[in-house]
Amino acid sequence: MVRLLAPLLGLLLGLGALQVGAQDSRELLLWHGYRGAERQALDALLEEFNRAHPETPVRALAVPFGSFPDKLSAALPRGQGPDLFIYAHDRIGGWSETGHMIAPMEALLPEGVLERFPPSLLDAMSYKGRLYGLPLNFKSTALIYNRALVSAPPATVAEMIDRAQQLTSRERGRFGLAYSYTEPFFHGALMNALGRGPFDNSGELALDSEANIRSLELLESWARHDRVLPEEPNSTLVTNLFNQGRAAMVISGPWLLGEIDPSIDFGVAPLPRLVGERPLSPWIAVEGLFLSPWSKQQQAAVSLMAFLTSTASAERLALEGGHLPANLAAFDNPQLASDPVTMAFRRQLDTAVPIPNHPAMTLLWKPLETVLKKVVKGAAQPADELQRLQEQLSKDLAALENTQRRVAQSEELPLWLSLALLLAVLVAVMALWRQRETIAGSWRQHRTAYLYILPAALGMLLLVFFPLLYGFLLSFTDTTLLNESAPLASRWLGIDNYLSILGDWNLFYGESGQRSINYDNFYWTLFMTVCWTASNVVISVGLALLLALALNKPIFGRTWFRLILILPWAIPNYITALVWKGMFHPQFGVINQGLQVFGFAPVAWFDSVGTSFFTGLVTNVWLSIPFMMVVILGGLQAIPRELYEAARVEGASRWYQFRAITLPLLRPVLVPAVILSVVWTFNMFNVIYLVSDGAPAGANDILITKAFRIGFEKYQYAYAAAYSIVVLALLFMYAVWQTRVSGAFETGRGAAR
Amino acid sequence: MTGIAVASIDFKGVVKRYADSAPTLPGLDLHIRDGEFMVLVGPSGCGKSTTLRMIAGLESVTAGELLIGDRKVNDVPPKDRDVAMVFQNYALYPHMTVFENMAFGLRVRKQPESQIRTSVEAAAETLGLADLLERKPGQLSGGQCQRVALGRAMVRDPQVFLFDEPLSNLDAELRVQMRASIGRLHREFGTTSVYVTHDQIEAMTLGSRIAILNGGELMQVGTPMELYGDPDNVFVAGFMGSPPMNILPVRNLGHALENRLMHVPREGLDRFGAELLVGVRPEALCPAAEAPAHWPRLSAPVEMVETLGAEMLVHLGQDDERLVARLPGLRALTPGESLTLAFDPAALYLFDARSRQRLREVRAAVVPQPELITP
Amino acid sequence: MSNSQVQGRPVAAELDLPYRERAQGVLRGALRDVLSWRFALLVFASLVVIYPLLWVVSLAFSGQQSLQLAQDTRDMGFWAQMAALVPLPEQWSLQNFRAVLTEQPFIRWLLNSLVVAGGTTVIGLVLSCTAAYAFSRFRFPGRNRGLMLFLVSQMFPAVLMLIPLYVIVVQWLGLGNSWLGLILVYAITALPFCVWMLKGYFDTLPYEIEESALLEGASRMTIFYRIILPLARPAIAVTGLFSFMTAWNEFILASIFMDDESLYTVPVGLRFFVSDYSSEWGYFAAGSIMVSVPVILLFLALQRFLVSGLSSGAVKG
Repeated sequence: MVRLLAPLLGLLLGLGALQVGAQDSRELLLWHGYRGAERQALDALLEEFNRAHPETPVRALAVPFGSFPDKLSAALPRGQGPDLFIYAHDRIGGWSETGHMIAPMEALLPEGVLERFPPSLLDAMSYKGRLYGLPLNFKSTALIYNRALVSAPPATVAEMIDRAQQLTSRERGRFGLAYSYTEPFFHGALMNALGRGPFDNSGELALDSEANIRSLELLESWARHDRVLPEEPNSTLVTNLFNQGRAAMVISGPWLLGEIDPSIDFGVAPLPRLVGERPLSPWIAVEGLFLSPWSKQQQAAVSLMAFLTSTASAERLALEGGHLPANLAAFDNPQLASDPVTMAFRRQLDTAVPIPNHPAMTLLWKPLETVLKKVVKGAAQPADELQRLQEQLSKDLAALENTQRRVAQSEELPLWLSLALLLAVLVAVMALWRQRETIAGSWRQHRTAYLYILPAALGMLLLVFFPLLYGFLLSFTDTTLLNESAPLASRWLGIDNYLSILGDWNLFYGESGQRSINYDNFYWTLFMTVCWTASNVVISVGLALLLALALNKPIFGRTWFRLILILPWAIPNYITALVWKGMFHPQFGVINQGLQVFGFAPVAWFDSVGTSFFTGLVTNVWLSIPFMMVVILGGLQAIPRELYEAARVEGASRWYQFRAITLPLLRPVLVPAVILSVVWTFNMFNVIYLVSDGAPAGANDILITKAFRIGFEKYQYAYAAAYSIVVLALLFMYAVWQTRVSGAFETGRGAAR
Repeated sequence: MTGIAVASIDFKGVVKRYADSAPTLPGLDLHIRDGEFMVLVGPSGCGKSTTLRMIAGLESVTAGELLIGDRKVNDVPPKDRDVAMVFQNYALYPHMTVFENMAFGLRVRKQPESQIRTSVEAAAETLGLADLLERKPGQLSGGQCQRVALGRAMVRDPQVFLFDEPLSNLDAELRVQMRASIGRLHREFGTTSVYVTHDQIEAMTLGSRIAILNGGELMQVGTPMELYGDPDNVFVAGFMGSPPMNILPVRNLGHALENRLMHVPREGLDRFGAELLVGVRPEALCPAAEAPAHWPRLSAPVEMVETLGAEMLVHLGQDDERLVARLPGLRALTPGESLTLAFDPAALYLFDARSRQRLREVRAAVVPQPELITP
Repeated sequence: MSNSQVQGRPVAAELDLPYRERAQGVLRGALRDVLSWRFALLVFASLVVIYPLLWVVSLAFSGQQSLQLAQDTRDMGFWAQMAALVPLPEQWSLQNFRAVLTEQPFIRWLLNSLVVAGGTTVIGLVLSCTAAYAFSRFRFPGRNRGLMLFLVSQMFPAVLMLIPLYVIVVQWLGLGNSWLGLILVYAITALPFCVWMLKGYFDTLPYEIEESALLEGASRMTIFYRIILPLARPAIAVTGLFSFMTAWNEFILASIFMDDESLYTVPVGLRFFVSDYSSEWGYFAAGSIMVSVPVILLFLALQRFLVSGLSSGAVKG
């Protein structure tokens, strides 16, 4: 086998070496997230550009939507990445504050380019008075209606709800209106119509403003009083309902157009007016072309931007790629001008509002969504909930801004810290020096053993323990999105993060009359995590044991059963987790339908802590049984048959045999498997994130998803790192305890020698 | 075949200690002569396997010197010691055929393939394995496996053969057969062999000499008959012979030894303490009626009779005064009946009750033939 | 059976009686199995396992981007309602597969994934076999601590490793945009599991085999690859499979490290179909099936090792 592996390894190394360094320095690298027709249109344009500018060939890289932001924030601050990229505008604020992500580019622009765009879109691309990119297209929502059900679009909101009520038949699964109303992006239309959105005139966060409270009340009345909206909406569901003619009107964007069933005759209109007030003003996301501050060919990159936003390019992208071009001149193209759908979106632009690009906006999405979900389910009062959110977000925001200010103040490593570091290094060196004889001796004595471990240890050191050390150091700082690129010393904080995690005793909030559990609290999350891990491991070991016992003796179709039961292990868990989420959908999920067939009432799975917990539990048990079953099956088959025969002869019952022989002899196999499975389940990110997503209101988050939210939804990187270190410490204590109790390290015979 | 170098083995004050525990071997001195078949025997945990594994190099020597021939081998790795070992569980390579198993050592030493084939086939012929060469160990019986293991050791023609309880996994009949073939092989090749067992019959039948170990201490070394006839202490006396020597506590009256079963007048006892142990072999006892009149008698109730055909083992006595007699199996005895036996006073062994060492009397040795075998 | 019949064809009856009896015996055995609680349990478990997967399969073959259940089932009978719960496309179509294969260089990415996952398996096995062997067979200072450290590495949330990994692999090692970087990271990620499982397996192999080889003059290395590795084949197969799957399913690192679409692995390609605005679930399902098939085939091929490989050697000398 080794003889076979060696050349293979060499080949791989060679391949790896070949790939590196095949980089043309004149190349312009463009990252985008397009696929399908949109991408083909872009590629065609780039080809055209390359023909005209052979000196700076453009190479485009499509990046999947899910990992685009991660890829950008990994590469750009480190001087890697593209020369320019296409991305939504709403992160500009954060990027600009972080530094090293995007470059202001107004100075590089040729004359007259800016005149192509309406001021609102240019505003969207600017932050603190500086222009960070050119708008390429905008994504706006509008009202899309089924002509068969709605002959003419409603002019006012009241009319829309009226029509919707007539067309809604909940028993038949028909709805007058459907849209992802719990997503802040969609709810923005109401907030913007009634007031100024989440920020006031001076740009301060004002979530609890009169207008915003009213917007929530309005939504609540649609959902709970008029009952025209389907439950737990998401874009797939909305598309589905519309395509089946079960949703008369939907609020969605141009992305829906390509997915509408050809048999549906639809029309598009701008969102209706609120009586006596402004029309519903949806938020728009502007896709812009951004310039990397590291690009060595900024001028060329900007000319590419200018080329891509030219009227000719914009027409092409609109016609072939379905863009709503930011260069409004393109709408004069006869083909576009005669298309009622496109023009409806174009008209919507006049009342639409770009998403604020304030850094605080990125903090808002997730908590606002949680609030929306609670309100439409009647679990919270709009005013109270918004007030609480306002307080919480102001605090988070202040924390973020503080870190930025602190960096500006302190430039140098505090003296005590540098001394402490020096001392630590000295002590370590001294300790090593004093032990040098022992170390050298043990190296000589056990050289073979160490040589065998060395490659793995080096790999682990480099790719596991170094990142861990990085996380560990990070946890003692106050690193956030805003001061990420400041020197480490100026971010140094000490153990404050740990104190605030472990010292968070705000287990409840609200007045004593109606106190509710504070689901953001560390100890609640810890409690949930322990419940989650324990129930998962116990149930999956139990069921796996049962299945393994059933499979242990020959049975008709045994091979097939074994193969089928292993399947969940073989299929990527992000796929199956999504399927389970769909099956648990309260209104359209098959589980509730099944319950109804048997005469039970459907369950709102994601509304209460217990049921939501259950969804994750079922999914994870389903996913983890195969591994456990296989392990146990192996253990069972290694138990000598004679033992059972002996026990039978002595008159032991089946149950007694199981307890006295099977369980004890499975122990050596089970203990490591259980340890691993505890560690994995404790950190089972995918299932929680994809199935219940912590619903309701983060109550079902486990420590790792919470750490993720703190890091990637609140941008408090250091706090998230401290959270992770706490997770690590907890698991470590568990593992030490478990291995001590069970002696998992020891081998039967080796220990004696 | 062998005999190029002198393959004697010397333990000089060898200590074996595992991490912070009492030493397994507190200090062993043992000389194994070239060409000798030395059997290490003792109860489990006595250190005999450790001793063997130290010769193989599988265990390190904590202190002292271990020599093979004239070479100190304390730090010589196993592969350079030119020893071969046969394990209790055969230790065949399950994924290789019998041929590959036997050829493994030669291939590792890069011998030419043609020569390997010759050696393996010769060994297989000797051991009756010629038809099994293409089988894998899983397809062989226990006896065949052990013969393969033997063959694997043989083909390498080592200086020293080591056997670690090679027969204990075999059934009784096979064990006798294998014992015979191991004995035959040793006579044929004369290779120095060290053989570990806990079975004294194996030790008696195979060993040129036997070393008895107990609790890490060497109790006695000698030819089988030396150990049988002239044991140095209660342990050796009790270990050799089947059933073992009867050991009974007696009072030393100065002119006689006495306990509840017997009274033995004797001289020269004044040198010894008041509490002694006497040993008498089961086969030294005979029915009183057939014994000379001056032989001491002892009577005790019969407890149990084991009939072996031509002879029988009679268990007599009670409490701490129990003994076994090997008598011709011609009479009917019923449990409870009192039986009187007699023995030659010269066949009586005396031990100190405290130290359990043999007390040798000045009188001529009772041992029949110790000097005959010693080279 | 009437008398005349037997008389009519005596020879035939005699001939096929034993056969028929045997067949009946087999049938009776199968029937007994089918009626046992074990069988009922296994059937139920299999249904639970298959049902969610059926959704993926049906969606993939529906040619559409979504599957619907019949909503309005109140007027139907119980069985019709039950039948309505079975996800089946209205019409079968390969359209989704065709689209996935033509819109993207899917086959190319599949091959990339094979190379990356294969490389991960090889490197992961080399590293984990040697380390596990040392942990199993040698007693040395730091052994228990080392084993614990391997376990600890599984305890740190992977999402937070992203940036430091990027720094190391792309900036320090310069292995960005190369499969080697990915392979190294994946191999190390899978390493702790592999080491633990292999060590457990090595522990069950008898020491005497190695001692015997040692006496025969084999070096540690020879023993390792001529004796231990062949004996540990089941465990190696299983841990290899695990390494393979680690690499096969990962997409975040793959999409972040690779700056060239022709180097993407297939899960990255799958991710293109899912975005915030709209998701082509039909394509996603079709792609998922194509991604899963090689792994399922591997499971099939290695099935005989799976059970023994994770637990004990059970090698009897």
